[in-house]
Amino acid sequence: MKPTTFWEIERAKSRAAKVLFLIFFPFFTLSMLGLFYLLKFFWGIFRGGGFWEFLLASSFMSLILYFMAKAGAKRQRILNFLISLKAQKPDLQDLKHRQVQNVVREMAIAASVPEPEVYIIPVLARNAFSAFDIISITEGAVSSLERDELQAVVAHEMAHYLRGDSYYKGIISTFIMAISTLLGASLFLSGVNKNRDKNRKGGGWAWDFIIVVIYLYLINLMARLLNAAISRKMEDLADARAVQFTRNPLALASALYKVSRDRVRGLASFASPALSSLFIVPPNINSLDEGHGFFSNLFSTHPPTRKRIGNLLNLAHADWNTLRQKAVKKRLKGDFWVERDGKWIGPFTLEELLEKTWVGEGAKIKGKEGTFIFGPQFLQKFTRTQGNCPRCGGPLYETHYEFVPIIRCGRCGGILVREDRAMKLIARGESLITRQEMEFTRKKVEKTREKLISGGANPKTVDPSSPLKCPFCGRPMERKFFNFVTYTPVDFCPKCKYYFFDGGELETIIAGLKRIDSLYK
Amino acid sequence: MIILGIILGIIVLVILWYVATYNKFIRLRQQVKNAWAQIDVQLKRRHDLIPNLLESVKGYMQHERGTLEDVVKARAKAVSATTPEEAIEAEGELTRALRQLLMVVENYPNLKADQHVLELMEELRNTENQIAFARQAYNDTVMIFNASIKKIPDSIVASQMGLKEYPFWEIEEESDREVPRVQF
Repeated sequence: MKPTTFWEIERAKSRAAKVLFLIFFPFFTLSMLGLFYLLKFFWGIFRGGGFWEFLLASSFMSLILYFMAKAGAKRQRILNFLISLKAQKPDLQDLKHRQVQNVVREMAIAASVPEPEVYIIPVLARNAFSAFDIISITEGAVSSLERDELQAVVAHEMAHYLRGDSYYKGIISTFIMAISTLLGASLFLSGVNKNRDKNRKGGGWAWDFIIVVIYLYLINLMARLLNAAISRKMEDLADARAVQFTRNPLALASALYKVSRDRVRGLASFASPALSSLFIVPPNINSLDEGHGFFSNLFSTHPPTRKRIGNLLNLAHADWNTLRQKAVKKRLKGDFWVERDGKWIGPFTLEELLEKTWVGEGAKIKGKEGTFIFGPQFLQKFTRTQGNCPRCGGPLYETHYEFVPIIRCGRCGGILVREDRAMKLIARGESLITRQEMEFTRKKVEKTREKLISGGANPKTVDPSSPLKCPFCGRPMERKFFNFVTYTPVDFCPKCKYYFFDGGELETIIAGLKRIDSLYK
Repeated sequence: MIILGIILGIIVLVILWYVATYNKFIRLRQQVKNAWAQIDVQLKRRHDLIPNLLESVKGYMQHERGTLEDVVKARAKAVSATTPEEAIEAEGELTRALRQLLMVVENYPNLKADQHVLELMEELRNTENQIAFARQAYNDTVMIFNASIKKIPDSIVASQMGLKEYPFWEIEEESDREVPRVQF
């Protein structure tokens, strides 16, 4: 039956906790019992203790650990993690983010639960995770997934939320950490002890310690295997439940396909091992390439993505070809060509043309109705905003770049974007960049590198013009490298928190990141 | 003495069972009502959204008078419906008309370039999906409720409480059975 209230979600949580208690409590207690015997046997510690005393002591220890873990599985920890990633609530002025918010509302209705909180993590990696009543999705995933795929991902996370899986995972990580700590401590002690023995017996192996370490190592291994098995089961169940909510298995399959074909593995460095099992696909590897061997499956907290997709395709009566076709982003065929460095690039639709920041005043454009010159009249349907372009003094218009609100100069193509939206532009732009644009970027970045080598690694070397003035507050802007991949110098107003990208710079950054990624593919 | 104890025990058990079943039915009924209320909220939201949407797409869609008029008519009928039967029928019509509109919009690239229209479309899709999912949730809850009041021996409690089966929100068309897979 579907839970309808927070109370029932709590009950589901306590069910997860009960299962844990039934599996891990005896496991940990027995391990501790064994450890007590080993300690008694080798060093005569707790010499007076018999079976019952040891059992009592070890169950007491597990109980304390359990309650500590329960107290530690707190929502605040997840919030802190999100804050450290600069995650934000969806930006409702951005249509794509609004879609995420709407999809969450839809899935909450499908599952008959109160709406969970949503956070968007501003990184290019494609992933999602849920913990307690918080669902978070990375910007890379939001940008690359279609509406129905977002729905499927949210439904999967909603299923975890309903079953209180994150609560389970939070507690279990504490148990495993406790065992690892014991292992670490005994390794350390064995080193100390070996030195002490040296004085007495003249060195040699501390066999007793080696046995204790091996014992703890085996316990650690078993705990991990047990946890991985339970976690894999949870993922399968969440996939099934997601299909129950959306009745659209193909969408979840293509979402998993896109997410696992992620070229940017950037999230690995953020997610601690304890948190990594919370994600929809493991954040540390390209999961379509992951091993299929017996051992890699045993230790994985997720079932092989290929298998998950296969199951969903069976449900949808579809095959891999259908899936690949669905996953390819369909580009609208436009009929505009634009001249760049003596070459005609295209075809673009008119909207795409307006989103290319390197298209500025004077650009030659070839359309069905002949050739014409680009000018501010193309932007006249947009709202004019106060201030003038810091680079050329041209008029500024409020437009959108793949649904992200930006301010664009009608003359030179430069754009102003709020600091918190800059990462979004890059994630969104990925699918817009054409092969020809990539070529231009490659040459441009090479030239920049040469300049930097001869002139010193300073933004001023690449762009020696005098500092720009912020169009909103009039103060001089700071010039800095946006990243150290393409060495693109951008201007930033620390007071208004706005970036200024010169015409074409945004595409350079996007294409540069894309190129670097493909090197590691 | 023993027999008396057994009888007393049985009476206590029966009372406990009765109370538990009674509470279960109360909870289930509440769930059905909640699910229905959800649908109601979404239907109202849809009624409010349509005039705005039509106003902004009118200019672009001169050739689609028929589709637009269908929506206007269906909405008027849905708003003025008084009985639940009427409402269900009129809303079904409105759903079909809107789905037709959403399909037609795909053929107008200019429309898709207008941020304002896109926003309204997203809201409309959101509402359509919410109605569909609310209906799905309602039907699922009704199914559970209807099945459990017929189960023996719980049905004794149910008949004493005067509980009756709730109607499903029927899906009229085969194509409606699918939850919308709308995408941009």
